[in-house]
This record gives sequence, C-alpha cells and structure tokens, in this order.
Amino acid sequence: MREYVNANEALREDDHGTVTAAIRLAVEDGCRKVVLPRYNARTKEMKWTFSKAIELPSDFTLVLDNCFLEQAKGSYDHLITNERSHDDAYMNDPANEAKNIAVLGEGNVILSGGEHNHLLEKTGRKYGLPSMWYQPILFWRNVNGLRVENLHFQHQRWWAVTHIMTRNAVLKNLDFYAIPHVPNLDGIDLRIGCSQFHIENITGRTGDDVVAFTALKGRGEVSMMIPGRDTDIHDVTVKNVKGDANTCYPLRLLNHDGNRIYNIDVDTIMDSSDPASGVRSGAALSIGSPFYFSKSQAVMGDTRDIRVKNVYSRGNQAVILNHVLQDTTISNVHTFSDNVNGIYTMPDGCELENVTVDHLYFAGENAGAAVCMQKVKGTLEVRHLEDGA
Amino acid sequence: MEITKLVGYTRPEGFPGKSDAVKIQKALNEAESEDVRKVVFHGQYTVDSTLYIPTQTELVFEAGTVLTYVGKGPLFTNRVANEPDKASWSFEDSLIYLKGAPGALLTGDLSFYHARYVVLEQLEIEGNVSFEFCREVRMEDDVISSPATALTVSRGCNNFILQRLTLKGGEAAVRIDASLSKGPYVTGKDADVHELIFKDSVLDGDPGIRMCANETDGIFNVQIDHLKVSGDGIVIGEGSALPKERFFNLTAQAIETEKTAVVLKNETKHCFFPEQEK
Repeated sequence: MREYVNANEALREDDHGTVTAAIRLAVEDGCRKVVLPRYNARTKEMKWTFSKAIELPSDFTLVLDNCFLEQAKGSYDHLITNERSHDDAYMNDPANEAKNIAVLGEGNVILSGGEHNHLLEKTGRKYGLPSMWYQPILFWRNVNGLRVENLHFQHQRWWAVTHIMTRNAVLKNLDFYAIPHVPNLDGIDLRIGCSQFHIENITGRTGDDVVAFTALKGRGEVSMMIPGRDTDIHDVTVKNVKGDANTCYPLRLLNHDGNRIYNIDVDTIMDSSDPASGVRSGAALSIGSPFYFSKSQAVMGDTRDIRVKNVYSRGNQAVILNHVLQDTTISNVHTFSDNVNGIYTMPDGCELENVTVDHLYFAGENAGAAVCMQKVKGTLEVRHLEDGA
Repeated sequence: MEITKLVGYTRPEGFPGKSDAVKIQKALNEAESEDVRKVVFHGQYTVDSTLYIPTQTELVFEAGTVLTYVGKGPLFTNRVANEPDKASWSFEDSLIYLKGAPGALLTGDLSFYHARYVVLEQLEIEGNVSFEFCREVRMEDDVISSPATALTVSRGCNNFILQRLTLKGGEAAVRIDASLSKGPYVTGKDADVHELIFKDSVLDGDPGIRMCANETDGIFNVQIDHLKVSGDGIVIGEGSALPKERFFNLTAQAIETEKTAVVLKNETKHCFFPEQEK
C-alpha cells in the first residue's frame, strides 16, 4: 500500500476528473489519501479550477499542499464536499452517514470562490438557477468524523464552510478574506443537527458572521433532516475567534423552530474590526434574535447552558442578548473606545433566566451605556463593572 | 523547470555553492522563481550569513535537521526586511510558513519585519524570535531558548495567536514592547501592539513577560491565559509613568508562579488580573 496518490498521476480532461480519478486510485490502493500539489501538470499552472465539486468518500484524507483552488467562473458547485451530499434520498438515510473525512492544508493553501456567479439568496432556485446550498466552498452534510485544518479562504460566494447534520468535527486554523459585495459571506456555519465540534483559531475578515451557529428551518434545512437525529446544535467548544465580521458578528448563536442550542463553551472572541474604517462589527457576540423563524420562535429553555469568556469588542456593542436565554455566563468582556454599548438588547427585548455577566469593562467614550437593555423579562446579573463613562 | 514543479519543492542539496548558506539561498530563490514556494531541509547545515525568505514560502525542516548559525545578524529573516525602501503598506511580505519536526533544530535568531500570515509551528530554536510590524501571526508548539529574550513582539504587531510554547530567556522570556524598534517605520501601519492571544505556555524567565510602551504607542486587547512561569509572571511598564491608556484591555489569568503573577509598574485601564483580586 502506498503512502498516498499524487493527483498529477491521474490526469484527465479537467481538474475535477483528475482529482476524482486520483481518489478512485487511492481507494483501490487502500491508502485512501490524495495529495493535491501546488503544480497542476495538466494545465502547467499553479492553480486548480473546479466547475464541479471534489466529492470525498468516507475514511479519506485529502491533503492540499501549498496549492490554490478556485471555484470556476460561472460554476454552481462547491470546491469540496462529501460524496452524494446533494442526493437527498441517499443522504437522509442514517445508514449512509459519511465517516472520517479530513481536508488538511500543508503550508500556504488558498481556497477561492473566484469570480462571483451571481447566485444570490433572492435568485436561488429561480430563473433556472440552482439552490444556494451549492454555493459554499466546503459543504459537509451528514458526516460523522471530520477534520478541516490550516486553510485560507478567499472571496466566498456565500457561507464559506457549511455543516448540516454533522458531528464530531474539528475545524482549526481557518482564515477568511471576503469583500462584502454581496450579502451573507459568512465564514463558518453550523446549521441544524451539528454537535461535538471543536473550533479553534478562526481568523480574518468575512462579509457576515465569522462563525455562526444557526439552528433554523427556513432555508431548505427541512429537506436535509435525517430521521431519528436531533436538529439541535450542541456540545461545541470554540477557542480563539479573532475576526472582522463586516457589520455582523464574530460569533453568532441563533435558533428557532423547535431547534435548540445548548452546551456551548467559548473561550476568547476578539472582534478585530476597525472603527476607523467606518465599518465595524455589530458586536463581538450575538445570542438569539426575534427574527429568522419559519414556524415558531424559540422558547425559554431552547437556548441555554452557554459559557463564554474573554470577549473583546470594537463593534457597536460588545454583546447582544436577544429573545430568550437561560443558564448562561459571559465573563471578562471588554469594549473599545468606539463601542456604543456594552451589553445590549434589540428593541423587541428579551427573556432571561439565570444569566450572568461577570467582569464587564466598558470604555464609555461614546454616548451609550454599559448595559442598554429594554423590555427585559427576568434579570441580568452583572458583577464587577468598570464603567469608564 | 518542469521537474522542480512536479517535485513541488527545492532542497539546498540540489544547488552548487561554496557554503550551505549559498545553497540554501539558491534553494529559496529557485522556489520563488519556479513558483513552487516550498523548500525542504534534511540533514546538518552550517550557515554563515543571513538567509532571506521570499514572500509566500513554506520552509519544512524534516526530523533531525539542524541548522547551525555562525554568522552575524539573524539566521532567517523575510526579504522585505532587507529592503528599507519598501517600508510602506503595499510591500508587505506574506504567507511565510516555517514547519519543524521532532529533532529539528535552528540555532540562530529569526527576525520578521513587515509581514502578514506568518506561521511558526513545531520548531525548536536556540535564539531570539522577533516580530516588528507583523500581523496575523501564529506560533504553536515551539520551543525557544535564548540567553537574552526568547520572543520579542515589538511595535506595529497585531493579531497574534501564541499557544503551547516553551520559552526560556536569560532575562524576560517574552518582551511585548510597543516602543521597541529595529527597522524603519512602515508607512500606513500603526505602531500599537494589539489583538494578541497567548495561552497554555511555559515561560522560564524573570519576568515571564515584560510589557512596555511609550507616550504614543501602547498595548491593548491582549488575552493571556494559563502560563507557567519561573519568575514573576508579567511585568507591565518600566521606569517612567505613561498614560494608563497605553496598557488597555489586558487580561492575564491562570498565571502559575511562585513569585508574583502580575507586577504593575504603570497604571493600566480596564485590565483583568484575577490573581491580583484575590
């Protein structure tokens, strides 16, 4: 058995054909590992271009070695996904859960959305265009055991790295760069049914949330549900999210429609947006919203057991708490001179049960308040406040 | 050459030269000119002059590799550090990746200036590692020892992630200093030091971390967490009193030391030092 198959050993008519053939060779050999090198021997360029997604089988490792991958101009598909990820009948069978897939960057690896294909949320599934679910650069559906490490993403066309009904995953050392010329250029999205994730060292600049946990049922998620599997987002650890979320949030937690978010541990969120640029994050952390539901809003108990520590914001607020929240602690929260408020709630208000903010440092140099909340049911306990105002 | 591109990297052994330094520099330059962007080291090298790393280059030091430096200045630096006329925003070097392996050792200083996306991973270094006007830096699982300071983060540095480091210095193990300058000021960059994350590391030095600033440039938004330190944990400030805004939004928690976790020699603003609150 070989150590791996080099993609240049399996040249075909296009890059998708080449890599697919290399994957087949690796499966037949038993090594189940393909290395995609920097040099593309077919085109003689330092670039790989894909109009169709690389589909990875279970128990497989794809190593990207200092290479540049790009979604082809005018294409409507991912760069990388698990096998048959858009075959609903196949994917929604629990027995077809994909397992143990790794995409590992070696050195300096860039995955690019290339030139935008004009597929937007308002045009998805219209005018002959496909669903937006084909837009992410990496798309993982019904995977158990996933590693994605050491990659730079540029110019994503929508949510760059998207997970649905996926569990036991490690996402590490992922960096983003997006110019927000179209909406919703998130970095990492966990949608319904994602659990047991470890997310670490997420950096860069996105066109929307850097990391979003969104347990909703209004974007086609219903067709991706798997019988017998829960649709909650839970048991996730997040460490070191340091990014500029355009006007949105480095970390957002949002759930409705009977889906819950719970057992989330977050250590260090740094909002690196630059107020001097005129565009800054809405907040470093946002939990909940009265909007975005399809069938029913979240109720008390649906968003709970969240522990966040070490929050540094340069945005309009440091932390936004909306709608409902239970059994949550947020500690060591720092604002910058340009923050308007420390802890904030949108005009629709919120209901809180056993929610504590501990050690809040509010710079207070703008008109605003360390705690600016309205229509609050329940209480927010704030301990150790240093208010610069 | 096609063969170089297919191999995907260069090796110093593939080049003629009267010294290892000449061969290594040729390997770095060829990796750039052939656009393979990767140099692999294996074996023993004696280097007698500074090596300049081009932008977008990965250096891989295979297990057991030893680079012994006998020259002056740093062992490695990035190319723009040697081009003072490029001290402006648009000439930033980027994507410099140094990856080590068990038994790989670099003896000599590493100095990075005006660079973005620098990664140092699994390296053992006998020398000082320094950064000036660098951003988006990640150092993980490195062992660095120096008779002076092991790690220096000086003016204009921001957005660093430093984790699982073992650092030994003859004085401070780490110096974070917004007032410290070696190269020219980079037009278009600010000189403050900010957005640093430093965690889960062992520091043998007294103090573990020394933080300094000046009247105009300071340190802010720093998260320091879970350090084991032989001397005082963190010393903030030096002799002259600076405005408290020069040390702003700093957190130092879980600092294990038999001496003092945080020593304040200057006023600070909105800093969280829980050991001090006990």
